Amino acid sequence: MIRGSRRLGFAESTFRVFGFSVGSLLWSTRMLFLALLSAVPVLIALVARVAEARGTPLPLAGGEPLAGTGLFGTMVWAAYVRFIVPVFGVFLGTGLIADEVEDRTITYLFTRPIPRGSVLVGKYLAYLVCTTSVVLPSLMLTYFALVPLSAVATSFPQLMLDFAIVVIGLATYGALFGLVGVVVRRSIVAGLVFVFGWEPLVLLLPGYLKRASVAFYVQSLVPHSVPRSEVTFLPQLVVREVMAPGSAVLWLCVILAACLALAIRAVGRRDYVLDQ
Amino acid sequence: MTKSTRLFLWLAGGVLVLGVAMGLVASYSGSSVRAGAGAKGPSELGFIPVGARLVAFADVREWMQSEFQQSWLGQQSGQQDADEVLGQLGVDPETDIDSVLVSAGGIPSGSGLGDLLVLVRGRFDETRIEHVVRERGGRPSEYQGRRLVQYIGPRQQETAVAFMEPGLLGLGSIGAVRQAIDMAEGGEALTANDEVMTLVGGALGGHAWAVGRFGALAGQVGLPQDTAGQFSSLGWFSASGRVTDALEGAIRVEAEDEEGAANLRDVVQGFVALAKLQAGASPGVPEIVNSLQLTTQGTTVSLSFAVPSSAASLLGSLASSSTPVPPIGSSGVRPTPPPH
Repeated sequence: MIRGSRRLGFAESTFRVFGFSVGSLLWSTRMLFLALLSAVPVLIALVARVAEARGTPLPLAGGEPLAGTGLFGTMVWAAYVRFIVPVFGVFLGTGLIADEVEDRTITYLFTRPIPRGSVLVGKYLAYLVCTTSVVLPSLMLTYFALVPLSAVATSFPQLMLDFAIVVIGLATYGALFGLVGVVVRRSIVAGLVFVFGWEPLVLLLPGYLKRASVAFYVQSLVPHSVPRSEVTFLPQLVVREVMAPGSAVLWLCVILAACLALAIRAVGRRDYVLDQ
Repeated sequence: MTKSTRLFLWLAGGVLVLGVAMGLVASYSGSSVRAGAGAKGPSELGFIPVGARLVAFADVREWMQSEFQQSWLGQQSGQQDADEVLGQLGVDPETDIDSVLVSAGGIPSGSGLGDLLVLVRGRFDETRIEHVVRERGGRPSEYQGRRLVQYIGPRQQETAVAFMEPGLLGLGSIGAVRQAIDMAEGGEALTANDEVMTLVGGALGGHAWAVGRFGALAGQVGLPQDTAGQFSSLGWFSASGRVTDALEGAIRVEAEDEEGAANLRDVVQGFVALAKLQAGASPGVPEIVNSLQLTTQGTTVSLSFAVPSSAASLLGSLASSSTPVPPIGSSGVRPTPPPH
């Protein structure tokens, strides 16, 4: 707990908020549910591995069995980039401030002698640590369950790239939904509509509208390591038009920085009047 | 931060560190096999067996971006079959292919070059390629942890497509493809052959190069026995070419002794003189013939040439008059019966 009346600097208060937020976020019911969700790809990978070892590979891609690095690439694309990463962002990112408001504990935080923005930043850093410590081991276990050891030497650099894509995806979605959680009342509903309504829709539309999504930039980083064909079993996930990876990373960083800055500004200016 | 939180974070970090360490060790073991190739020449050389008698490399990206290629492309016709095959596979050669390496002789067969292996580096839709080959009777399998699809090739030989590593496609006879995969797992690769690697090092400045056994090449093109006998004293050859607004190249042949080099020089000189006599007959030929420079140094005979972009039309028409490659699944391909 933060004690004393001395006003702390931004970095120090951020660190303190981060310290107690990690534990509360990590052991929350929501995180437990999401951790179970991130275990699903590991289970699928294990089942696929056993099925393949028995000579009956799972028909996962348009009826075509996939194995090894091919199946792993498809799972990174379909399970992690298009589902787990945005879902973590929606459920945990929107709750950074909104949960404190809902639990009526926001006033306790804001009466402390700390900058309001540091509460958001500390909680955002806790979100990053918690989500990466759940999603990355899941991705790692899926990789080693699917890819034979003999193919690890050649495919391991791709896994490191997938790690980077997942981390930047979690960071960007977290910042975006952190802002949504600050400015929108029903933030989870808005987040789910954005992730499962708006983004799939604009990705299928021609033109520049797809640039108004995070998925477009994240998926622009992915096609170098996963299938892009018509036989993929979830064709709505396929993005025909992609951006150069360098530009995509730049845009993701811009979205992240802009959303965080706007969220800090909004938290600093907003008056939180709690319902009795 | 509570003790249980710290424990969880340490556990998650431990899983990551362990996984990354395993991956790094595996990557180091795998890359050390091809370390020689990395230092000298493309990394694909690590997949070529030490006994290969011909290895050729082309930087497709440089070729596609050159002015010379634009002149060449303007003259190309009759490539619909190749374009159709690439279209089916979802490969655009202008953007998706970086380089192509061809090797032969890893599995020797008689006097010829033996089994061919083509390694294509670029960006591929593995699922789509596998789907297309399977639709045409291909049988998928795994070999040493790599995806491999076998089919009967146009000449009724067992052919295979394998995904050697991300962004590297292997194509060739089933024996050659399996051997290449074995090389990646620690076999003795061509990079261990100092003689060949010296020639490769000398040819590396070019956008395209080839190094091979002259005898194997002569056997492959089916020269008459007495003519082929004249080349028996020839050892390795190397060829290297650069494309900018012109195609500049050089061919060097190592003879076993100076007498062999003198014989070869005389033969080539005869061909050059004959070409100069007939140079006026075809447009573009004089520029090429006049650029020919023949030199001999010890046991090495070198022939350099330059083809300006204005003469690309000549090469283009020669190429388009050659027989196009039959597409996968055309009448030349016999679907493989399913295994019982």
